[in-house]
Amino acid sequence: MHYYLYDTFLSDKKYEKVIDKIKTRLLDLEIQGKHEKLTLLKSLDELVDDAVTRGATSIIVLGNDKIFQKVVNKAAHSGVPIGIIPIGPNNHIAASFGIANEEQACDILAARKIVNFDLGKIQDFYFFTNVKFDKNLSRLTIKKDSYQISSGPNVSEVLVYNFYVPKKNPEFDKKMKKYSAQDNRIEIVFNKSQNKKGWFSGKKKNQKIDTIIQSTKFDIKSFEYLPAVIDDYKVLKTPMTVELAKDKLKVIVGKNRLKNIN
Amino acid sequence: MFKTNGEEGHNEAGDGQDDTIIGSSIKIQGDLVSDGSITVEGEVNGNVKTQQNLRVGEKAKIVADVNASDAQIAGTVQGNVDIKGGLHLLPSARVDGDISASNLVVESGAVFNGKCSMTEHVADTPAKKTEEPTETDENEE
Repeated sequence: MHYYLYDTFLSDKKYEKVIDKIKTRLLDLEIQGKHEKLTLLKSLDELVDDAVTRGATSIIVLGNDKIFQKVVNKAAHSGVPIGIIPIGPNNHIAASFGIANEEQACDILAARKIVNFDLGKIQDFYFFTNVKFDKNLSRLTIKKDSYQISSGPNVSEVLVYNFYVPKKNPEFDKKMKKYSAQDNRIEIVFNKSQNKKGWFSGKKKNQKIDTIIQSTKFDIKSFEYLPAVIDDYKVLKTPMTVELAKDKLKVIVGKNRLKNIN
Repeated sequence: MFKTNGEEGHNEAGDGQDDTIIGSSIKIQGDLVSDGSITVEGEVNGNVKTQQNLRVGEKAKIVADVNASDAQIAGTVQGNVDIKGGLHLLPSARVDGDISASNLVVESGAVFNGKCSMTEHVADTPAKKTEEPTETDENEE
């Protein structure tokens, strides 16, 4: 049984037509299943747990990057493959998997090409894209194998990536393109900010990649509890160990996925 | 007409980028060991060891020994430099320590204080010709 989970923003009337179209297409392809809409009163974790105990063979999220990232933890714990039907803006992850639109997504779900991805892990929590630190970075100490890394005053962000989602930023995309969620590594990236003077806009802050270090495990500590934002939605505090969880997530992907996804 | 995956997607092999990039904004304390190539633009207080290439930037500083397959140094190294292949010291380089390499290039302006030993690279040395032009000598006698 397929379990279709709709993001909260899809209850907006403007998405009715698209959803009807998707439902018809799923019916044509004979991949119907249980459809459920996420609301503020329903816990996503509970819904997914419930679906898995009822025998869901795949969890398909409808929406954008946000709902995909939120489902990853539970999907990884259960071992059930996940798929995505991209609707609306901010669908960079679906694009990386070779899923351009909702119609194509239905065909891809029917073809059911499953690929294993590594995940990042903090204690018992799995994440797909990154962990981000952007406050009091000078107090942060990162330990890897036999050495310790400390950041200087002009570091503006520290991120631990499992999967870098291309965001049309040429400098970042070029530097990060060789790292994937299948390379048995996680990457720690230090970004620095530089002031850039524009002709009309005055001073602008420009982000640049300063450092990239690969590993399977990073121990992150600080003098005080510092918040880390995981996959842009969950906040955990230091100290923490970020490590690689190999081949932990099964994802239904398309043919035209990024070249660094096997 | 049709875009191939390579045009907008990620390049599987990469484009020769370094596996580890130590930027100028961070400081490393301890031994930096890597299987891939390393670029150092910041400060490392500890040994740097790699099976591949090492590039030390102009503003970089390494305080300990360096061990790599090939290296290009433009910054400061305070320690011994042991390179299997070629070592290139750029004009801004400063090495306070002993150097061991099979191929050494020191550009004008580079500062080097220490001993230097050149190890022979077996693969690159041409095989000695055993047949010497003795025929002409015999004829003269």
